[in-house]
Amino acid sequence: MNVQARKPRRSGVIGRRTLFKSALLVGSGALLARPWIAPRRARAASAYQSEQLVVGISTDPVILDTRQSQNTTGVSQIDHILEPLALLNPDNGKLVGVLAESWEPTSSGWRLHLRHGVKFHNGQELTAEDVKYTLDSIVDPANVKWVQPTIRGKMQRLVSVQVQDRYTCTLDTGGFSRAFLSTLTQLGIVPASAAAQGASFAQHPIGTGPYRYVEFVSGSHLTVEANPDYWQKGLPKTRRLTFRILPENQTRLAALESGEVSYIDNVPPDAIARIKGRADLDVMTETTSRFMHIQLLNDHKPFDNRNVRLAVNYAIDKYGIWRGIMGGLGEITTAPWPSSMLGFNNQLKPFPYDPSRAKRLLDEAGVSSVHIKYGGPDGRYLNDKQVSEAVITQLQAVGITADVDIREFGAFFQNVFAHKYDAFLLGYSYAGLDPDNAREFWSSKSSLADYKNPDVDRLFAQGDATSNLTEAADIYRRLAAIVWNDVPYAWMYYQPNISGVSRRLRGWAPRKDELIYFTGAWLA
Amino acid sequence: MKGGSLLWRLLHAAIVLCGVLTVVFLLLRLTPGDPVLLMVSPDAPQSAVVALRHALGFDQPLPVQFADYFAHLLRGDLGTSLRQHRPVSTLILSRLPATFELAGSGMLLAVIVAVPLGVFGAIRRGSMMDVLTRTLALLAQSLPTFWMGILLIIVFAVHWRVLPTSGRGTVAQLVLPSVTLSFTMIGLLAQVTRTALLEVLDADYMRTGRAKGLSNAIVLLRHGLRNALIPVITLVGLQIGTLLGGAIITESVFSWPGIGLLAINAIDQRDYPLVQGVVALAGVVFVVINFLVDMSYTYLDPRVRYT
Amino acid sequence: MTRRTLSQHAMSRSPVLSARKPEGTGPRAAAILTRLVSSRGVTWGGCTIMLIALMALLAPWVAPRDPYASTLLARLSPPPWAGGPAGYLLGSDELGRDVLSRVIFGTRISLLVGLFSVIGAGIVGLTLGVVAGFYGGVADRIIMLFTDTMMAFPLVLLALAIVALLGPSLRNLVIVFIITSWVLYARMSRGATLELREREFVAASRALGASDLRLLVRHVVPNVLGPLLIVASFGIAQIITTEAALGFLGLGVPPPVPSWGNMLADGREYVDTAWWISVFPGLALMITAAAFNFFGNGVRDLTDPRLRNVV
Repeated sequence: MNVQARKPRRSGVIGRRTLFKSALLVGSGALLARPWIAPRRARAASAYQSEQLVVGISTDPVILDTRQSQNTTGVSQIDHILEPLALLNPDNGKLVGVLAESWEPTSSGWRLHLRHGVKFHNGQELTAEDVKYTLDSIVDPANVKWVQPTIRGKMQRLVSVQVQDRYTCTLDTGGFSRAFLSTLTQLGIVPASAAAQGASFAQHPIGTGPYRYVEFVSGSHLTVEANPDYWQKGLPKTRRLTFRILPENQTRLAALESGEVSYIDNVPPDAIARIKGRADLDVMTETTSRFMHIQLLNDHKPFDNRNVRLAVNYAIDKYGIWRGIMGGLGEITTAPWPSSMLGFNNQLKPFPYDPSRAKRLLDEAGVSSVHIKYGGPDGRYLNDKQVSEAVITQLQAVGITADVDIREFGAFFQNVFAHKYDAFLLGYSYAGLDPDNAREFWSSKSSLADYKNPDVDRLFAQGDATSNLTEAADIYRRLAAIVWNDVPYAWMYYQPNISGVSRRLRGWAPRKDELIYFTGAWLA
Repeated sequence: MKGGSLLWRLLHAAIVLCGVLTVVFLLLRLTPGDPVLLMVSPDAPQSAVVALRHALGFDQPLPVQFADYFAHLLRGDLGTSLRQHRPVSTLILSRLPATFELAGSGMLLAVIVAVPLGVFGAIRRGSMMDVLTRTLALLAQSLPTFWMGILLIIVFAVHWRVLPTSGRGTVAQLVLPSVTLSFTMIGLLAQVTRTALLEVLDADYMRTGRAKGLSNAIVLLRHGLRNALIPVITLVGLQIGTLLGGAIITESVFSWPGIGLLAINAIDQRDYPLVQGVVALAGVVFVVINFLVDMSYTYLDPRVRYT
Repeated sequence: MTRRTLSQHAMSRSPVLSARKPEGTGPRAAAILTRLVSSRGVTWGGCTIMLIALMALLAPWVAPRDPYASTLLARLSPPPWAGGPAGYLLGSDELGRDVLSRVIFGTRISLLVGLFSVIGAGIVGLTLGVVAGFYGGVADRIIMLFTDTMMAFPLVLLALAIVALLGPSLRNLVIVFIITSWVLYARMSRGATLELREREFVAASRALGASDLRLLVRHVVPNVLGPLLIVASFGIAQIITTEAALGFLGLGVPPPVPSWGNMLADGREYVDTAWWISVFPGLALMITAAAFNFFGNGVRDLTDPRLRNVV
């Protein structure tokens, strides 16, 4: 630092220092005064209740196109951009029209009447041609490379889609199928102009939904913005919605607690106390239709004997698991599907926890000590690894020892397909909330547990062939009783859907069908 | 193969890279597991699965798949991700900056902390502080990265709320992941710096320099540091491996959208093209880094000899 | 960095890095301290390792409970000295299993994986390295190409890929670690062999008509073992930590086997509520890894200072 005599300032000239100082003053003054000087941008009366909502989700949607997506749980995010023809009300199992206003059965399928005046995000109006393209693109053999085989399988029955007029089309399924409509609830309608893009449509999806696509970084976040021309007036309530993808439980929880997100899904039961302990947070739970069970290979020893399977049902302490590992949330299964669905049978009873009875049954069947191969997923269902470990211990207590293989779901499931396990943990859900969804589980052709019962096959066919709901309910009730008592599985519990929310979050409630919609949600 | 012409070295690197790619290809195809089955859910009918397998070419004999793979590779086409239906090269390129950012800051932090520690240790050799720092460095090496990461989140993001928990975007979000990553390297880096500098300080040419009357600082800078840098640079080169490994774990804990997380997911999902792409990239990076390290030896110490 | 300290070094001919000859007028206490620390590394490290090995061998007798026994009603209980019920000295985990017993049994997995991997990698690396160094020529080139390819490999990715594809099991883990770590042993063996090849006793033995194999086994290998031991020591530490990391990613030894990696993975859900599930296996892991690291460090300081720059 030079300690020199200050140079005498020439009069009339503003020194650099002074200039700098005054600039600083003016600048900061301007910054501070801005809110009062500059007029606040006027908010339109019908504008959104909140500007921004950030939520944390545990699964990455990966591909924003229901035709391509391999996720069964990532569907809800896509639904904000693309909409299906109809949705099921999870409380009573009834179909609610979304893009389709009404429908009626035909001799070989369904006729749909579309809503008028619904616009895609590119301004085009929704017509029957768009529905036709969406459905056709799924069964088109040229698209095999990118269409998800499961969706393809569901659309297998579709013979043709005929366009009657601008808003009407007829779906021909080669014979009437009651449940086909419920399949359509999982399909987001895309514009016919997407034909030119093929698979890359997913990179900038255009739909009719309440939100428009803005940005998606797989593994990081999905951002969407409100669609001002959305056909349901008054929705959505938030201008900008961001889904932050946080697969790690602890990271997700921490994000909720620090306020970075206002909602998280899949809260582990043991973390509930931690969230509830905060005044600004809350936990909301709902029982889903996803029933957790242990599948027993019906054509492998020792489980080819019904009494052995029954013994497993007595040996597993589902109540202990439910109370301890699920925190008492969700429900013990009392029937193959929950009461909100068609054909629920309330006469069936869960098997009590009775290890001595289990041992007796095993002795009588001549398998007092046996060694099996057990498989379970890790990270797919709530506390799935823990549940598997508890089950294994309980089986061991009645003389069933196991070679255990617990691993990531994809690899685990491959082994399931390849029949590598004698028993495995799985959780089926009714994607369309219709008992016909269970056809894949229990029909002789496709049951993963090799369960074969011709009566069940017959009942499934009958249930789908009638459009009379009362008749269908009766058929399914009978079906439920047969499957329940055949004990192809060890029945356990319905998985709870546990969400952590900020108390400022409004307009949102958990659903029984695991779908998560924020269309009506906003931050107070 | 270090004492050869530039051309030979490049050729060698290319051969090595080919070997890497071949091994990965075989590994993925020969181990049990069908990627198509991973792309379906329980209720997919067999016909659809078969159709998809055919469309993707997985029902071809192995040599055909291999030839196809290499043909595409030479054209720069790394294939399409089975899961995301997008070109592998695009996916990798989009995630690369994130990992560079993380690895770069992690390495920077490690160097900033470790090198002074090492220098300090070398100069105050044998003192209590030196011993303490060396012990701590060794302990740091023994600490599991992911554990450290989670503890950091709990302490700084949840209890004290001074830093965000995850994700990428702001500088604040970079802090915890890079600190976690730097931990994997600080220990070794400090040790090596210290050792290298010690050897240099005792070396003959240092005394010669001092005898000539040059100040300590100049002697150190001109001769000492240069030679001390050799093992440090070697270590930095070798540490790329640790860095990548650490990055994979760190990205997983902090949901950092980089190559590591991409790789984990790709491996889980048997997304063959994506895994091959990431490994190819990593292989290239390694080969290039090794190449550069070799080159730098020649610059730093022309007398260098290898056993 | 003061001038005085530097000149002290210069003028006092401060102790060469080999702690065998602490001499000079330099800070004697510091020199002795250094040596003590180094050999302390060997002693402490070595003792800890032996203790851990003993625990692993005697686990069924040392552990108070069955590590697999699960009591759902007692899950997530804190240790008695932190407010929990008696019976679980270090608390119970998310399935009501005793943490202490699982930590003790965990030593078995860690040591098994570490030892077998290192022995396997050592054998493979030693053989290939010695052959490459001794015979040179084509064999050397091929083997070196091999090692270069392996080194160019992102080994962590490779480990991940192999375990994910083959399935997590003790055997596969060991295979993976052997594959990813033999290279270092090969390089070291080759380097040491090259050096030894030039020594007189080799030429002398050859002149006396000794066969190559005899030469290798009698003279070369024993000399290479020293540095290999050091590398192995660090190797075990690294393998144990990597096994835990793989367990964290769900690719370690399959549950319900009590491995530290598994326990850390399970405990990560409960870091704030049931900290004991993570802390104790993490501590055990750190202590074990540190023991091997200190041991290797100490041995290295005592024997060959040159190696410090290679490892």
